[in-house]
Amino acid sequence: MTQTIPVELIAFSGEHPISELDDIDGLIRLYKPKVFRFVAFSVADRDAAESITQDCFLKAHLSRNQFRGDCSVSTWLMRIAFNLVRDHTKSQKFRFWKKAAATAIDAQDLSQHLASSESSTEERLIAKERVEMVHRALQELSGKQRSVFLMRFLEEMDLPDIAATTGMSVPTVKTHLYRAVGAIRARLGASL
Amino acid sequence: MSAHLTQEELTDKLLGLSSLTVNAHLLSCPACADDLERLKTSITCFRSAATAWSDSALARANPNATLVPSRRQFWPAANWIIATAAMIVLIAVSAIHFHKQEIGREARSNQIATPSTTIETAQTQIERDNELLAQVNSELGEAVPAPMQPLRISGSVASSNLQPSSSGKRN
Repeated sequence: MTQTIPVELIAFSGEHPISELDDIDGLIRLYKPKVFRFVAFSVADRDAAESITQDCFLKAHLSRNQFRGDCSVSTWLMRIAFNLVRDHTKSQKFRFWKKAAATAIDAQDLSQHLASSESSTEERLIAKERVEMVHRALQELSGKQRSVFLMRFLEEMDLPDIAATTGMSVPTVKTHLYRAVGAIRARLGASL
Repeated sequence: MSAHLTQEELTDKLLGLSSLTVNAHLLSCPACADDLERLKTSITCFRSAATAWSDSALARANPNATLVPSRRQFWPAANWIIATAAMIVLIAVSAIHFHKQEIGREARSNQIATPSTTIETAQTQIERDNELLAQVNSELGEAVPAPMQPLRISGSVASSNLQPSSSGKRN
């Protein structure tokens, strides 16, 4: 999904960053879908994603005075979300819930949300199967590979933005992407 | 380029970073073109489904939910409130305690300050008690016990009755 970001929020060059960030309702309205989507497919748990997304905006609001305007608000929020996801996946709680998988995102449930643009039933089935394959392959990636893959192919962020968000260099981001795409390609090749 | 595309070349093509050589190979190699097309389609389908799922999940969640601090952020605030309340209670209890002590001290100092008044009060009480005791003694000395009163009356009557009879005998 391509998200339209208002010019006044993109052009955060340090002149009026704090006053714009004070509008927490506006930030949530604008960026919540993006942050929630990234977090949800990073932790593969709906409830945890809601909680982390809320924490992300709360943290952004509380530390808005620390925003220097050296990147876009979107990148800044994604960086907070990335750090929260990293902390969450390291925690014992995440390991427990991953085993329990009570509110985990179900691959079949996910594929049900696929728009039925395909002409035949067979094509729809293949498309659903591919969605499930990609989702399952994502769960087998390392945290960094998954995050980088989601930022590039789900959120359509460019490589410098991903590098700024994750604190990696662009070549490192590319390396993670090569491995992530390789893992998904291997799974697709094995199944189809 | 006779060999198939490498993992890096395929990913670069997905990222839009491919070279002319890679593009030329894709035109001449159906296997690599199929491979790339399958990857592209799979990722596009995943993005479409993930976006729809995410929108649906957000719509199901409470849209009017406000930004509430999680427990992690809430507890420090709660601790501050509890600590402040405890301080207020402690100060109030201390103030009451000192107030009571002050009242007791004032009472003791009043007693010490006026010993003559206390002595006078005690003497007056003793005098009253003595008067009361004297009154009781006098009443006891004068009064005849109630059971004895009919006997005394009948005695006087008997003595008066005895006199005519004796005079009658004489007559």
